[in-house]
Amino acid sequence: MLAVDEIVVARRGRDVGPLSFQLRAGEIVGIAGVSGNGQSELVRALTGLAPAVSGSIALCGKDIVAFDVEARRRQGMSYIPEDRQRMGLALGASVSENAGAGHDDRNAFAAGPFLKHGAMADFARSLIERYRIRVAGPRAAAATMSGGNKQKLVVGRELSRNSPLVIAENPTWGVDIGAIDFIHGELMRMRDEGHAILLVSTELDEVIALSDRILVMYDGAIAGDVSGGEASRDRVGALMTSKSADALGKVA
Amino acid sequence: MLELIADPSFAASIPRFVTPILLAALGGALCERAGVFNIALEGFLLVGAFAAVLGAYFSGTPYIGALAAVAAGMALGLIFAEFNLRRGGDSIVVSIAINLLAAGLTTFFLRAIFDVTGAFSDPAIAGFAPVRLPLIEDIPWLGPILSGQSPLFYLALACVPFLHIFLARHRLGLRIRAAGENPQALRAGGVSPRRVQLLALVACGALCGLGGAQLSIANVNLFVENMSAGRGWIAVVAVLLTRGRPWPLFFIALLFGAVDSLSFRVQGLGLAQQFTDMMPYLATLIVLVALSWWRAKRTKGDAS
Amino acid sequence: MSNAKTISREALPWIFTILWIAAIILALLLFVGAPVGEALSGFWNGAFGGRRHAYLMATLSRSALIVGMAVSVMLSFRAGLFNIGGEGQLVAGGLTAALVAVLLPGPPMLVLAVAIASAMLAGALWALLAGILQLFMGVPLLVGSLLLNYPIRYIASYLVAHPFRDVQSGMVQSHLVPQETWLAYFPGTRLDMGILFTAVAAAFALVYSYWTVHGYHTRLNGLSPDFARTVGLPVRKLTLQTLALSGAIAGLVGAIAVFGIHHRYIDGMLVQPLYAWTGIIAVLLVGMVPWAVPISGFFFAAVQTGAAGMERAAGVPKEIALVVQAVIILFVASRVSGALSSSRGDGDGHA
Repeated sequence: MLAVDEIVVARRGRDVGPLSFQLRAGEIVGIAGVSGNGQSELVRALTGLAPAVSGSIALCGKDIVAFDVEARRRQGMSYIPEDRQRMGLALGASVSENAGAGHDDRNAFAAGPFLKHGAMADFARSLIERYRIRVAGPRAAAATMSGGNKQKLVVGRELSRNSPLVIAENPTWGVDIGAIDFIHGELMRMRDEGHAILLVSTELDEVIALSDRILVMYDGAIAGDVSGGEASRDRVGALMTSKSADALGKVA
Repeated sequence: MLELIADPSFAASIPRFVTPILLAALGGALCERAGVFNIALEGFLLVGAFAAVLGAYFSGTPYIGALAAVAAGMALGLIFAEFNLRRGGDSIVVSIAINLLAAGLTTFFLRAIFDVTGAFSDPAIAGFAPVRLPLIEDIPWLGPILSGQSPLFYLALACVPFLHIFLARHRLGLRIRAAGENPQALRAGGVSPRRVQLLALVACGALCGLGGAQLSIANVNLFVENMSAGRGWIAVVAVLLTRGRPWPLFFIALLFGAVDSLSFRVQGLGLAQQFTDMMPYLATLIVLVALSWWRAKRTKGDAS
Repeated sequence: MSNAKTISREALPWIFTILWIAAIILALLLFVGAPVGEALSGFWNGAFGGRRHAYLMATLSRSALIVGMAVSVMLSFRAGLFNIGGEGQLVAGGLTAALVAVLLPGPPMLVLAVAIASAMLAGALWALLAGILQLFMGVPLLVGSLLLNYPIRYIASYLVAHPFRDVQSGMVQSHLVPQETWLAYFPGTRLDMGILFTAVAAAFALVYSYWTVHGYHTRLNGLSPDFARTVGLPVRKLTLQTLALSGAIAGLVGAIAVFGIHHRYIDGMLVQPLYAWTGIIAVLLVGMVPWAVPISGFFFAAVQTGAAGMERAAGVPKEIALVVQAVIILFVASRVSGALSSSRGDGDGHA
């Protein structure tokens, strides 16, 4: 599904990578690590928000390194960003306008150059219902929702695209417990339906609970690859700081 | 062209053009460092220029004119602070409004007080006399630059190292930087960032006022509607380019001022005035492009 | 009871705002020693009165240009593009319109059509230049668009001062455009049909902003550029297209000024009256709400012609209009703040 080969991403100080890994259909791969070890750079390179210095990324058998964000999404990628305030939503726009953005089917919400406000509102209503988003209605401003409901809207919009690959970055950050379970359930349902999911999270428990395989990132490199069954807090936790432990050992 | 640059009278004219830009840019730098996005330098200069003429005309001494310019600039700084800091207006909107207010107030009072439109010139406007520095004025080429300029030029020169040390060392300078970089920390220390920003705006007004005074009662002895003519915007560019650091600012202002002065000189060569008039703006754009390319290249070099 | 309380709480700041503005105007009037009553009636007459509403027609004629510039600016601002180079785009349009009409032979209607089209093209290209500077050369749009105002101003000035000057007139201006291309007056008035072009542009902007996909996408970019990028909107393309659209409308306004009002390009005719800046503040006054922009533009046009009336009636310098406009924007900017800064994000309301 997703094949990342020797990807290098620029970062202030030292570059991230080269990183190589694969993601199969029907699999949740977790990326664990203390924040700031290259995860966000990796995600930016995968989604096309930042260019990769070198390496290749294949999605559904096609090299997408030269693609922009829009083309990558069309090729079959959805993205739940960590920062829902800035990247996930346009807070000043309505729920309906937020829900309709980035939709694949150009004709779903448009008739020629004109918008189909009705169709957009219907779609937003279906998300509100399905994800139990607490908001006044499709016309309410996104800013009026609480953090958890904002997150549900982002998750709902991205998952409803039904794309082969979903990249979810801290998908339950700042969300209440009921919503966390719901979002986890949705991700697992997508997995069971044969989607590939890359779960990037700083919440170790979340990664361990959901992932079939866990890649641990440390200092811009993949420090370990643990299968979900063998994963434990101690094992993954040790890998998250492993290299520093090694380095300390050498110094001593 | 080379002859022109070697011409001592060209060199001697550079400070006339550098001073207003430098003073306005130093004021803008204080705002920038304090975290106030003040792009109304154009309006500040204009008000300063008008107030200077007003003061110099009624008192008969250029020093009162400069003081009036300082006072008017500070008052405009207070107005900016009132609407941007206290009432929370968007800084771009407030800046645009302040620029219009400056254009409006100066033309309104030009007619209300002197009953003229367009320009006001009168022998009673006391301009600054050039300050001659003995010994220094005899140095070839450099002498005419350093000697025989208006007192405001020397003041502007002195401001550069002063502001540099002030921002690096002085308690208030550190607070100004903290207000821009880390207002929470400042607040935690019991200092209101807004009050620091207010001080920066008022100081900016004073510096811009002096810059305006250079335009109206040092370079010439008259006021012309809209006589700042984009120099405030060039100062804004200088501030943005240097992120408000005094020394780089000095060199950028020097460059812009030299182009300004050069464009004034080449008029003598028979080039249409309109083309020489647009040189400062084109030069500013070219510097902007060149610097951003250079920066992009440097960060790319860091990455690989 | 509580209802009345909330109303008064919301109305009170506005009442204070209006009182402040009134006090400042009064202070200025007293400063010049003008009779206040006559000044005010002169203002009203100058903006809306006159024999057979001649002054109202002047207000409408002026608002044709101001509203046009406001519409142009609004499209950029709503897309999050701080294009304050409307003046340059306006000048590019006006200059091109006049030169094309003077130089191009042919049937008048065709000449008019070609001249208007080239004016729009010229405005669009000048705006695109600012966009290219931003996207490919790292010059912030705010600064780049503004700096570009100056070169075009001087280019226009040079062209009508030297190669295309109407030397006999003794003024720095181009020759008159053929009389058959002049926009007709509405019957019985001195109001030219230019305002119809503005009305079309405003209607277009309204439909564009509320009901088109492109308008929706640009607005998302205006509200949050990061969001627009993340959901895969073609931000660069949208930026250039929006700027071109803005510039084209500014160019159209330049053409209206040529064919409707001045019938030639006169040096400074589009710069001195600050049409572009008035358009900008007209947009800011109403927080970029599309349907309110024409009303706001008309309001500022009335302030300017009203001030001229005040000068005739009570000897108040008409430059007071600029002061009043700036003061209004200062007070209102803080009231409807956040229109521009919404893209910078609000606080998070956690569940």
